[in-house]
Amino acid sequence: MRSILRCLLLFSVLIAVTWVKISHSYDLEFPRAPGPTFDNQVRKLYISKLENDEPDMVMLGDSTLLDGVDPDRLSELTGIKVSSFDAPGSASAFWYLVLKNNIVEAEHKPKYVLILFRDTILTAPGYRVHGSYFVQLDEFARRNEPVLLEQAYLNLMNPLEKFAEGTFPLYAARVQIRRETDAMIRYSLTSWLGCNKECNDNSMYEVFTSADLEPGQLQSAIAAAEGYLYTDRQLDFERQIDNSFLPEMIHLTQENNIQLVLVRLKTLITGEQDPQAIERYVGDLSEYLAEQNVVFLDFGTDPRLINEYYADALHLTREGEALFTEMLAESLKVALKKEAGK
Amino acid sequence: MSFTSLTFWVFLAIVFAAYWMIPGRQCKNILLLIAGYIFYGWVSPWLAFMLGLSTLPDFFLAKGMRAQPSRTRLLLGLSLLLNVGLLAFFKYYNFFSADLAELLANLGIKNDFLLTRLLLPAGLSFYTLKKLGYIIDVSRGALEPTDTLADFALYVSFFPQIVAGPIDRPQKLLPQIESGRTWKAEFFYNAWPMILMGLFKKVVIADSIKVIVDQIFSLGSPSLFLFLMGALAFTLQILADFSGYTDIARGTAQLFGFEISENFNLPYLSLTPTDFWNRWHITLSTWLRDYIFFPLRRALMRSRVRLPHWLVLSILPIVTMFVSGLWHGAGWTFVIWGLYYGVLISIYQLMVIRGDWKPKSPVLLGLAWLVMFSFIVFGWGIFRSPSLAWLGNILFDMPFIKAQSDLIVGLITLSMVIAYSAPLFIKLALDRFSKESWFHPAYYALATTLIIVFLSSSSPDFIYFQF
Repeated sequence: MRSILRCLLLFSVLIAVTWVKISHSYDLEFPRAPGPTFDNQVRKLYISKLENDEPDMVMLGDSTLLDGVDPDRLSELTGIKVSSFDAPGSASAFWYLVLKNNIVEAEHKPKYVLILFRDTILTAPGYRVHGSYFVQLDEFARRNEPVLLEQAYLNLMNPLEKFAEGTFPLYAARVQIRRETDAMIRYSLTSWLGCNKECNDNSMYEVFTSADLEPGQLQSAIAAAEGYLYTDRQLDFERQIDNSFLPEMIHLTQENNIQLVLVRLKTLITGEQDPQAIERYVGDLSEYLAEQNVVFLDFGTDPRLINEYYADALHLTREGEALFTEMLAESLKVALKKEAGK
Repeated sequence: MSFTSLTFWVFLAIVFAAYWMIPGRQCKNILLLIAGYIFYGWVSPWLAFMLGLSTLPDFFLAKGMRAQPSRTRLLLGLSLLLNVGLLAFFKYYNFFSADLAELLANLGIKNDFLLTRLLLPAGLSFYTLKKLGYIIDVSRGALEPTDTLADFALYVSFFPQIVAGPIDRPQKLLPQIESGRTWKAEFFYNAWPMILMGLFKKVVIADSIKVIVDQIFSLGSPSLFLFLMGALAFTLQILADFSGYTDIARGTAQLFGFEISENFNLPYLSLTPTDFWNRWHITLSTWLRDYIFFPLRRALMRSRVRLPHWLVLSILPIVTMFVSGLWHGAGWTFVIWGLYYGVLISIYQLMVIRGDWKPKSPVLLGLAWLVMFSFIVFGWGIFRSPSLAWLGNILFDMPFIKAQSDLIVGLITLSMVIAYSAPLFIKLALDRFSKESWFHPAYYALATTLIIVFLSSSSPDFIYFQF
């Protein structure tokens, strides 16, 4: 009994101390609105690309786009000037920000925006929004991003988390504290050898980023990360659509006279999931997009993309890329012609 | 349902409140039984269905043994067939199915079903051993079978320990299930430090060190130095993860008035391999000792063929640890890890260094610890390796250090191991030297603060869930 009372007393003291210290160190006022804070700087990388290259078609996607489509070849085959805005590790929150804060803000707007996605990623707003992905998002976000905040963060928090985020500095600042603690621990021993932060980071990069990964481990890591996209919740289109960025992206493109084209890519992960649930999801998505006048090209189960064209569960090989670029060009020509005839 | 999810804590609060509000032992047991099935079937109701289906035969087979003692061997055989068969099917199906499908394909028989991957139901390995312990003890006459199906079903499905143990014996758990329980404040006083420590070990230590461990063991061909540093980090991760889980399980059980077994007793302070297995995953070790090691020794002693003493000393631990390796999973790394410990125990025993050996000289003591700790770290290196080919490549083909960056990353790993193991050393010192003071409450207050900082909505599963 005495022990628990002492613990509670000391815990209260610690909370009080951290309250003052954290509010002061991170310049935060409490109570505050829950969710992360973004800085007001927006990177204009894609605005400059649009204004320099003046493409008629822009492709948005992650590394599967980078390895999956050759933009120059696509330009050649379609006769449309194409630019690829591929950002490895990106997902729907990032594509929404690029569309909202770069593409529609550029003086030269493309006629077509293609978003290349896989399975449920377009209606999974919380996918890839934390940790290093947050840094990537912050580059393209303004301070005031209500849609992003709501869909990617607040909708996914339970009331207890929202309360803690808005009320307790220790909880609200935990990501920064953890990052700083982690850095302090990581660099303590090597600093005695004269290796500073840059030297440490370079070594980590050299060993892990440029290394060849063990194939089995790589597959497991991809499958584990992608597992988020195949939970019952993510596969429930009706439940997810209004909580996603897709309606806002459609609205933004329509408002700016841009034809949105959504391209579903094939991955080897899809085959390992519940086929009926995915079929149901894709059926609902397709119906929704047709109602919204969005072109939808579905390569998700295309038999021409055989396993041999994949470098891993997600990414195509060079041969796969060449084949898929031709397939995409062919489908695009038909779809855009049909769209023009409407 | 994971112990680190909010869902679990809401579930626990509801079950806890209802449990102490309803009167009577039987009602309490039924509530715990229902809670166990909800907990276990949370991700997929199919798991709970399978649990129920596999519980029934053992209950009736045990009753059959008492009713017809002459048929005990037959009924035991049937139970072994069912339990071991089910376990082997789920554990080793994936291991053999692809090869079998290829073999059939070569013979012109196409069978796509064999290529379907089966997921091992979490906890199957643990509750199967509990049921086997029960049925074997009943067959030996060492235990009276229970007459109440609900009590037996609760013994099998008791939710704090269904997913990853401890593998409690029926002699320990059944009498507690069969006796009445009334609320005592000491249940809570005993439980909260265990639950808090469990969460701290998992959320702060295991999940933090996991990041670098996963990175190193994902490399195609790390240097030997990086492999050893990765193995050292994994040594800390698996202790914090598994003992953290056990602490939460024990604390949760205590909240319901149950005392379940301790699974760890400072395993990394062991001086010999036998000592290590007396301190690491104790409930599994004693299960293997009582149901594999001792029966095998009896069989060898009764055998007409007289084997040399050294051979008997070697066969027993090697077979037992081989079974332990197989139990951990269908992979050559687990088999080799088991055999590695079997061989180590044999060598120590042949050198007449028994489990309770403790040299008097401090230098020798330190040396013995260092040697054993190195064996443990290397053992975890085998255990965590993605494949035997990967391990062989590192041990035989890789240089000690490939580049200076290896040294830096290895030292970063070492920094993390030192920093994240420090709280465990501090706790050990507090437990040894400071009984009644402000130090323990201060430690727990700081631990709670760190849990809040390190809390993540996506804490990975406990390692032992996969076994």
